[in-house]
Amino acid sequence: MSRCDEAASRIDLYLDGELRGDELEVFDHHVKQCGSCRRALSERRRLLEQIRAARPLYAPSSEFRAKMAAVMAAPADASSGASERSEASRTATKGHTTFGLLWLRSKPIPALVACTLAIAGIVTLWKVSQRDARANAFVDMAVEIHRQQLAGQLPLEITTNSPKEISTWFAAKVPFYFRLPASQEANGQSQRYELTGGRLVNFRSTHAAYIAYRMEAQIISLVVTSASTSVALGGEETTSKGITFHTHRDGELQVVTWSVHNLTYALVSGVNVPTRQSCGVCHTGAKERGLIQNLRSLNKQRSGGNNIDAHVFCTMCDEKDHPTKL
Amino acid sequence: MPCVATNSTNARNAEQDFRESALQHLDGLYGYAMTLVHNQVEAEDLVQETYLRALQAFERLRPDSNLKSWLFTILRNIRLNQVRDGVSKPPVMAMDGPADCPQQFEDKSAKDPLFLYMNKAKQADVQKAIEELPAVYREVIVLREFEELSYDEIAQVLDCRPGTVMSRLSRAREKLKEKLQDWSLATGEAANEAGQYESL
Repeated sequence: MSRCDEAASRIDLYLDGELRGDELEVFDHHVKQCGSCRRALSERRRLLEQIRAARPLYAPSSEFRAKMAAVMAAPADASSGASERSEASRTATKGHTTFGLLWLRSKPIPALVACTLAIAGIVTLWKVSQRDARANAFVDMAVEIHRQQLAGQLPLEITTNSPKEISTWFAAKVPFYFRLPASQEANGQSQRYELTGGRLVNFRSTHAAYIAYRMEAQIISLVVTSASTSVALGGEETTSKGITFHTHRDGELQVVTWSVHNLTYALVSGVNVPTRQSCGVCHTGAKERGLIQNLRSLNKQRSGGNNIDAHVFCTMCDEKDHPTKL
Repeated sequence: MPCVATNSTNARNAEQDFRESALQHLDGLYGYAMTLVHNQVEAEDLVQETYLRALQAFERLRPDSNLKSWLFTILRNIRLNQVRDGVSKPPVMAMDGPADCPQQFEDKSAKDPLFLYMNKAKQADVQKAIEELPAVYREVIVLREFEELSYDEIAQVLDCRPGTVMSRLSRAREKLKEKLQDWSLATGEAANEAGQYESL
């Protein structure tokens, strides 16, 4: 058997972490020297990555998940001994009655209370963890989308600087009502921010709206999804007029998320772009810019001259002014 | 007496630990059960029975044992007994697809949603290719690629030698590669990887 044949027969073992000791060293050494075996290894690795990307094939329903959580949450001291537990389990297995139900029959009142508390606790914890995970995922997604836009890897599906056209385009494509403000067109003021277009992006098996803006050499991204898909959480929180804004940092990027009117937004820009400028994508009229300036001055007074922060700008985003008011 | 009390407390803690740890494998057990029975109701019954039997037997589980492969072994043995006793039909070789088993493709990493969006069709094709594999290959693919069990652990679950696992897995992957050969598995991306061997 040639060295290449030998290496080929061990590619799977290598990728599965089953090669050790001398075998691993010999394989490693050969592949470093042999281009064709390197290619074979890379092809195999790619195949495995594709296979693994397909998981899960099946996922349990939330009902079944809750049912099993209840079964397994039964406190250890609830049953008086192994024999009772075994008997309960045997009976449960025969008739598809759960162990928990049998235990509940034997000690109805405390068992019912404990079961209810346990289930409520598990459901609450599960919901909280799911909600947090969705919020983090939304931020990560917005950052990734923004980076792809910066790299020129995210072609826009509609290219226009008209908010009305963008709103119309998204109307039939996203599962929520979304409208960009028309103030840019109406007020006739010169624009510091230029709307460049939008596209659909996928998030949690549904569509979210991606809108791109350009401000001089900077690109600012706005991603919108329904609040039922994700809410704004985490980061540095600032609250203004009933809306809580969450500022996250990811390397060179800054992400501000907030939820209002059943929608959740993520605004991504470079950290060197003050948030007030980022938020200007929604508030570009002369009156609004004046308000921003006033707020900036006010904030400088409050902060002793430091840069404006997210909450100053976002005091504008009240129900009256907010562009996506329903 | 204090010793008895301590032992009792330790036992309760151990059982509680076991319950929590075992529940973490629910998704994997359900996925494996679906691979074996291709029926949501039967799969749920199989998983539930696995947990109930595990609760009965966990005291015999050695501390150094692998809980995950132990649970998978229990599930497979229950299934084998069902087939042997005629309680259930043997594994179905073909299926209509995932329509009868609601899937939740939650993107847990959410690092690259656009990539996921563009590759959704490809992902579905990979799933279909796996589902079309003969049961003996599908099973080993699920245990290795999805559940990430080692050869020894898979051998324990399947009650066979690690060498058998290796050969089955190799054939299963070759079959999948054939099914997926229209895709760009060995194109630029692979070539690029080859040039980045330093990461190995």
